[in-house]
Amino acid sequence: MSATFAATKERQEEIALLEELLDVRLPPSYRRFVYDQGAGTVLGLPVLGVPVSLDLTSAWGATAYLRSKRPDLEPGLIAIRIVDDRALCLDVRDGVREDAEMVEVSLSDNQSARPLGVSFLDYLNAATDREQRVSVNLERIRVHLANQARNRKSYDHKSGARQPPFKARDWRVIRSCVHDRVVGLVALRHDRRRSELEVDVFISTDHPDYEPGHGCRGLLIVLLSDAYRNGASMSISFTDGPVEGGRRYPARIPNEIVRLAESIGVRLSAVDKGQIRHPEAVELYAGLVGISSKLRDEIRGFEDAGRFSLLGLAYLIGSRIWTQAQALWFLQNAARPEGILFGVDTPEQRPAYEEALLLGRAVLGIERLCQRLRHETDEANWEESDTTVTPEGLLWRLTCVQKTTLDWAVGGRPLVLHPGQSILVLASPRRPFPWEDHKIRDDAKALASLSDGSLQRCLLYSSDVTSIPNMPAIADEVRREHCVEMLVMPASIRDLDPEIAKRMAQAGRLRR
Amino acid sequence: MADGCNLYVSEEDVRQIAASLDRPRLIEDISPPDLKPSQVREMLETVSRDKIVNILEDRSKPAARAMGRFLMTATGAQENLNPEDARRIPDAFRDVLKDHPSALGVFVRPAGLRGRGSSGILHGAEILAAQALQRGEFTTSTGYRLRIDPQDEPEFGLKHAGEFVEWKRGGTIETDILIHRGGRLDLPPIGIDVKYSKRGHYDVKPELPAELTRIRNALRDGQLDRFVFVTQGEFTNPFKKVIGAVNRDLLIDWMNEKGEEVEYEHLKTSEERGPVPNLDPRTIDDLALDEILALAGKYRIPVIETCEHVRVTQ
Repeated sequence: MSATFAATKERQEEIALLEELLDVRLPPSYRRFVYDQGAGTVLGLPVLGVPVSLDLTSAWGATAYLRSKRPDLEPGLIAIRIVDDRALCLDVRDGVREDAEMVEVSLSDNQSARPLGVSFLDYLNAATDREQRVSVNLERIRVHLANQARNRKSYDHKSGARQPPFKARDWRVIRSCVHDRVVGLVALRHDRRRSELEVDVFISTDHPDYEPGHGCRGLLIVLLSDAYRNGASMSISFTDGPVEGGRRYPARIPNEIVRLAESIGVRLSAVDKGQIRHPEAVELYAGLVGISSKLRDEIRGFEDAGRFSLLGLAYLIGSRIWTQAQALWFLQNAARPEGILFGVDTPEQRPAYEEALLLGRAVLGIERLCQRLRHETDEANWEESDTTVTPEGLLWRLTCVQKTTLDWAVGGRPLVLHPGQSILVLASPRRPFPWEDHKIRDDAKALASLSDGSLQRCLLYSSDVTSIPNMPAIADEVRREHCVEMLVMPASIRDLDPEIAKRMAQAGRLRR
Repeated sequence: MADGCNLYVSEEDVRQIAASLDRPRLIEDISPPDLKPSQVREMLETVSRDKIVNILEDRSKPAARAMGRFLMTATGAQENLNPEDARRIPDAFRDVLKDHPSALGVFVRPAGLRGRGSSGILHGAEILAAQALQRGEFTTSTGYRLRIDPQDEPEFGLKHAGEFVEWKRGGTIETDILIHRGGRLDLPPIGIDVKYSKRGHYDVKPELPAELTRIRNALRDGQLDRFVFVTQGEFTNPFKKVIGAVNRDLLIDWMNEKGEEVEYEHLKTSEERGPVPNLDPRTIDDLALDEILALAGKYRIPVIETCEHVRVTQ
């Protein structure tokens, strides 16, 4: 008896035993997988099978563990993977068919099994396709790198060279990383003749700690930003063929892009031709960076006047200089929003620049307040933190998800914010003269007149305001008379202004 | 959304990506979570022992052959037992589970205190000894006929306190098989320690003297009715000598503490009883080991017994 035959026979026996022990018939798709491989890994994660053992390395052990943890569930679930407190299961509760749907079961609470909307066979096929695609694309990237080396255009960011040696028309390979994990690779170039972006490789995956699809989303923003920066049109064309010389032909748009576009309400009309047309790309870009319909309404007038474009604003937000909420606030409250948004105003234009700084201080003050509320210092994600921020005219509405104690209130009494509680903030960081205490009373009066009093109202100042004598008494007064809490951030406008100037300078270099 | 860090790809990046994709595709690569003893116990409770007996009943079935392989692996039989003994493991499980379907320690993990370190599945030698004791009786060194009757309640893989009051100080005794005669849990059970030797001769191990001290305490405290070392082969003479020395001490203990008060209900007639031993502790040293065992057998003096050739003979 040959070794292979013996192994096959043993697998058959193990499958029979697994069925007996679990008291279920295995779906043929899983049975074939176990027969062929015993157990294995799919996309780097285990899929349990045989030989049977009473631990978490076999389907029997995993299912026994699942049944011990979740005795409330019907027995027709076969656990094929246990990671942390979740079990990936085949659902044969409704009887055995050719293939079984996959469900996820929580082991730590009594939630019902969550259908994953994919069968075991589809999962295996998708994984195989994906692994093949990654392998083929990685090979193509190697070819690109070899060509770059041959053309003396290779670039290693570790070398610290200031300027990458690529032109927009050259093939460039960009990677996108989240916490040191590569989540996306794209090879692209700008086709001057057709005025569109040409994409050779687009592969993305997800970091396990973030929401599904973020890898594709991030990489697509990279792609669209490149298209905006380098082209007259936003058209993107996915192609295949020789990297250098030879005719390239259209390739289908990757499925993950199609799905992502659908999820934000953009229907791509030429998926098989590998074309994302200009209007679709504009919609996609605006949707990906989170430009709301409200913000689009605000922009329309500026677009018509030729002051800046929707794409320019999307590029600005995609470049993470200002967030969507900050942009909306500028648009609603600045006479010339492009002055600060796109850094058009320079120090030489003194009055306009001073006005831009004034607006910037208010926005940065709110940003610091949000950081304080979520006890973190990461500035890039402040809008997506536990605290939600919404501009409301001149004011800001901040809603806390967790209970937070804010110790910025003047007078030493901390401000306690409960989960779900919103506050309305008027941010007005300024450097007043010591005799300008009336301005604080005016601000309190203005804030009281702008809101109906159903929410906690706060005035936000920079630490410069402490130069006014008797601040605790004034704070008491505005609290008593106008129900307004005074908050003072631990930063002066001297700290805020360089940050605003830096952002304006960055924005000034971008295409509007 | 996660903010990606976007950079131009270098050779080094591609090398790292390829390396991560080419890593060994083994299940062991992703280590399964460690299970706590209580979790193992809960898992075992989901396993139907009747089903295991049914599977093992017909050895010609594919599932039975796979089950046999699993049991041989799980009990460590393939590494620790002779091949012919290892092959008997599935039958031994079937026999034991059939006669004693609720026996603690066979697909049921004992509670933490009593079965610390127990896997819930017996070692190979223990299940073989249990099967042999179910099928026949074996005479111990004191002449006692050791067997497991269907009405007895055996427990497997338990630990027993070495000293009645202070569990921690006295340590524990390995009682691979604990037999509650007639299912009476209120009476002291018989403790059995199964010793297996591939060569057929079980010799003294460094840990034996300490274990014997604990057994002596347990016998003296009345926690155990009997304690028997069982082997499928034979015990070596040095092993028997070490046991004999402890038995001499046990006899002295008995003489000092209980001897004169004991009534021998099992010895009904004066002929059976013979002369009541009236030994002077000082003269016990003169007794041969065999004489001590004979005395112990006759007057039910608690001593450590040995039982050899405990195996199923076809």
